[in-house]
Amino acid sequence: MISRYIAFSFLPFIFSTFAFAAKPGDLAPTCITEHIENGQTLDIANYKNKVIYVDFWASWCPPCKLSFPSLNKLHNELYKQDFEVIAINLDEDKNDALEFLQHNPVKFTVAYDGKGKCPSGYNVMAMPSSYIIDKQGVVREVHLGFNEDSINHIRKTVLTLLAE
Amino acid sequence: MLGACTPNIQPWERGILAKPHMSTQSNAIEASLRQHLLLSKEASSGGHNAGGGGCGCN
Repeated sequence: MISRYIAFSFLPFIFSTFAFAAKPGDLAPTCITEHIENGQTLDIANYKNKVIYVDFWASWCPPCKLSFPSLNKLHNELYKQDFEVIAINLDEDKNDALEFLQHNPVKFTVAYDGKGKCPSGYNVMAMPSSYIIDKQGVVREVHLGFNEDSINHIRKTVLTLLAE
Repeated sequence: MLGACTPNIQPWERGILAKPHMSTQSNAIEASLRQHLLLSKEASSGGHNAGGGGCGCN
């Protein structure tokens, strides 16, 4: 009987972890952050009518580094077709991110959220985590992690959403 | 009190844990070699730690 009480006492903790995760079909959670270069406000809601790829990354995360050249290539291919990559850096020290970008330059939008407000809203479960959001602001796909095969699937999904 | 033993570290808060000097083994290759020697001489395995900082990556 006591063990049952103990088991139930942990339930709120378990559900509090998973309750608000952004999943396919949900409206994209509010995310207001800043451009990493100039500190100007960046609001994800301003990108409606575009297909956006929101990528949460950090300089210390090897798969994030692996993803950057592929995402840059995808951005260069599709940015004229209402597609936007928004990479939100979550490093505790902004200088780590800036140094990373010097060694891994990209053309897409990079934002900084050192306080972790946006990933909390999305309930990011792994690094990197990415969310493909359609023109109506609805999350259509969630990707946890990144490997060399991921980009093909991402490209296919983006092209489908651009055609909608 | 036990709550303090399990701080809720989010995946994006593991930057410091991922630094090389936070690793429990300073040299992964040497640790692997030592483990191999121990395995062959003592006919034992297990009980050793894994390398890496635990960044939550795939």
